[in-house]
Amino acid sequence: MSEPFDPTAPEAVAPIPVKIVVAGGFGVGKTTFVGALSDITPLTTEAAMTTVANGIDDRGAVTTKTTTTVAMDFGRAAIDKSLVLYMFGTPGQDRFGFMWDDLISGALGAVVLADTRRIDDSFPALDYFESRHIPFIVALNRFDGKIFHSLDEVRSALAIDDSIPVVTTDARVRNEVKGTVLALLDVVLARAIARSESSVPA
Amino acid sequence: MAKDELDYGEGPSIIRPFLRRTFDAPLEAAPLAVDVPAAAPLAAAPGADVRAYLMTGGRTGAGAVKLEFESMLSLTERGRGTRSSLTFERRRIADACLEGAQSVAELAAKMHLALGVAQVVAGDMVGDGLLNVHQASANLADDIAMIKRLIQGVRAL
Ligand SMILES: Nc1nc2c(ncn2[C@@H]2O[C@H](COP(=O)(O)OP(=O)(O)OP(=O)(O)O)[C@@H](O)[C@H]2O)c(=O)[nH]1
Ligand SMILES: [Mg+2]
Repeated sequence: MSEPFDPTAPEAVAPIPVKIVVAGGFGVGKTTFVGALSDITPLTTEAAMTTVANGIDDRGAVTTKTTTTVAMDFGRAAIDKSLVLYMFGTPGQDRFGFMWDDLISGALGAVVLADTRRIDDSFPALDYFESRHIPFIVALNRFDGKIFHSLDEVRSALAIDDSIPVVTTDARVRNEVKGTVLALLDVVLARAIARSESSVPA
Repeated sequence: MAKDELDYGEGPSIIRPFLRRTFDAPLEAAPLAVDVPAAAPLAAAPGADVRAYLMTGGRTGAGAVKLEFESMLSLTERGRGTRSSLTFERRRIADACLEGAQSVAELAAKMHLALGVAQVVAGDMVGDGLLNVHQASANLADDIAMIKRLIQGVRAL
């Protein structure tokens, strides 16, 4: 029904891009998740970032800044003729915070992917999205069909607000990933509606 | 094991430490808690840093026009007309856009440029009238109709 955007068509007008971010610890399934919904095999880019490091490095020099590169992959899914969804997968180390500010600029929201066996790997991403007031949800990737703790246990370990959905997903399965993205978009929509209602004079 | 040592094998027996630091504070170069899989550096040619520096005049993150990683770029008439006289990186970006609109991220990936570099060079080209930029309006998060359309679209994927 929705015709995909064809950039080579003569009348082509570029679609409007909207972005979500998929964050989480190393190896938690971010690239798999993005790839499951993407029209293209996820592409890898690298982002150089500056880390402020006040200290003395091992050569004895006083360092204030170091530059690290982090691989970040992304995919996209054409929504309709004039809308395209970009999904950026990014590692969730807190020392990458500076890159995240560039990444989340303009983002609608974020999915924090977590593995219940290594739940603490998701803490930096949670800290970050909370501090930036970005809509996000937590998605527990079911490795081997299992999650190892109940959603309630996980929720209390994460110490997140009750309003933040915690869902389970399988990053390899397109429909599951779709459902997870929709769970995020529901939060985005609910927030937009709440804001519009609070701004209307009673 | 000391009592206050966290047992990282136990999953959710760990409670997220609150307010370990705020993201507004300068980051400390904390050692990585996890082994970083040796990320194959793209285009790690000798002198790559210097070249990136020359291309962007030492700036990263903001060209003449601030672009997002997902901003879509297309050639303007002017860009199309002057393409062959553009300098190297600009020429490559213009050439890539000949096939149709490209996002900053796609340009970076295809050209093996760091995201921040592609963002700045392309942003300058927008500023110079060589590229058009297509991006969501700044109030996308409040655009209920657009969000509903997106939800409907994702459902139909
Ligand atoms: N069993 C199972 N394996 C998965 C699942 N999701 C991802 N994997 C596998 O886990 C491994 C890591 O997945 P990736 O998608 O590369 O994870 P990532 O978060 O992008 O990893 P980094 O970019 O290295 O941090 C791959 O071998 C995947 O095939 C899942 O839901 N179940
Ligand atoms: Mg990955």
